[in-house]
Amino acid sequence: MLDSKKFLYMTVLNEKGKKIGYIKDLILNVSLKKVSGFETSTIKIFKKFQTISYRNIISYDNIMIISENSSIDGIRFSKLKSIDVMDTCGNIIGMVFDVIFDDNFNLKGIIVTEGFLNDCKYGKKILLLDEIIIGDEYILYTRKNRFVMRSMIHSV
Amino acid sequence: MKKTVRYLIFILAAAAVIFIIYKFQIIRESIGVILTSYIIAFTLVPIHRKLVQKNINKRFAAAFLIVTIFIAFAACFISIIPSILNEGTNITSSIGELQKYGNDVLYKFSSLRSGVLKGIFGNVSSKFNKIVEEYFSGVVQSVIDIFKDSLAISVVPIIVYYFLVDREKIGNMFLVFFKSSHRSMTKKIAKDVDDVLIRYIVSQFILSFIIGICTFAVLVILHVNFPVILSIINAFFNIIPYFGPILGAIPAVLMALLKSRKTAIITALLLYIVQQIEGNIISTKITADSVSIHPLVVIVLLLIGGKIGGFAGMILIVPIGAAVKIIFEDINYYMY
Repeated sequence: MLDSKKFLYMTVLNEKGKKIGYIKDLILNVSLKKVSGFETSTIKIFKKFQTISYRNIISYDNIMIISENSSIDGIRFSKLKSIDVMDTCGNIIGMVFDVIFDDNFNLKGIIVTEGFLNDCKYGKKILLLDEIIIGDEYILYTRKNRFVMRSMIHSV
Repeated sequence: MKKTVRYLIFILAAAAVIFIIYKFQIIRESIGVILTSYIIAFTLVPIHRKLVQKNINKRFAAAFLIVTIFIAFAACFISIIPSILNEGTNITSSIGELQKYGNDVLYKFSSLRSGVLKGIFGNVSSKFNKIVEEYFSGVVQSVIDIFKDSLAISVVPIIVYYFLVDREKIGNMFLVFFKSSHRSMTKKIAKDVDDVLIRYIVSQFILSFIIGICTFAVLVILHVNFPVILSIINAFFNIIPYFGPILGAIPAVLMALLKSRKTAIITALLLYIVQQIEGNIISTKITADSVSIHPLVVIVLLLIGGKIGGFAGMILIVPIGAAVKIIFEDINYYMY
């Protein structure tokens, strides 16, 4: 299971070994349930950012190697990062902390946090993608399943 | 119950250690020396890594780097101090000129206002004189103080050398303090903090260097006196995030004021343009913003840092704050 922290600020090189930039953001495609790509910084002076598609990734570990750029569009993860999550009764149940996706960049779910102290006691919630609807100002949590997954604090 | 007792003992022990550090001057000084050499070693780490990447032997690269830096430092000192002493007299005469300029400005007003303003201005200018005197004598005093601890000075290069060469070993020695089950998480957090701090240092150096060169160009074009010192001051102060550029530009504008009011305005304008170019275009490319600290927090940190340690405090507190933020974020991430 991968999440955004593994990828953010990762150096990106192209096939020839030249540094292209570092990853600034994830680009999500919720309807296809995929992380369609990443937004990286550029070394050119007048271009603000460039996007790479997940199909062009050759490998990623400590640094990422890609074959070529391509123009991808979608929701930026940074827009989602601190959005409130509301359930169908109108109660706010937390803030988005992270997204989870697997090795094939399929989106699986989001991690919702309630605040530092509450997380210590009750853990972070993990909501699956088919239980949520992503909106502009809130994320709606339609509680389809009968149970809620929590990630409790554990000693490392 | 047992866990809380353990935490209490730990906190008491930490408090006792801090108390001992504050009480005993000797321990404080030696820790000061070690910390200073650690900071110097840390700023040299990126260059050392680059040299090692080019297949130069690790120890040779470290020794070479330290020797070069210290020779460069000594050369700067030997060449700058006489010129500062020379131009010191010029500086006092320049300040006298500034005062005369201020008096002239006031004279133009005195026909409109009463003698109260004149009295106030006389007060302010004598206080200004005193402050400048105290500042310069304080600088000279601290330079003398540094050379007093000549033993500490000769030890610093050696400590820096060992910090550069044996960084991982020293890090491993410190890991012993943590529970072995925490080891991998501690290593990851240490690596994250390391990466961010090194990126911050490299980007600040490059930006200050660029600002220094641009300031030098601006001052030379406008024929302002002491371009070298002023551009070094400006480059140095640029390391501080929000107050730095202003503090660094003020001496340059004051010197330009001595030439003429027009030069001062043009200098201020050109320095402002240089600052804007650096801030908006160059810095976004170079500073990999790994830690996005809100500007308000940065300003509060700067105020605290200034209170604690003066200018050195202001320079050091932003990377320290960034390191603390990263540690908290990582702990928040790895513990779930």
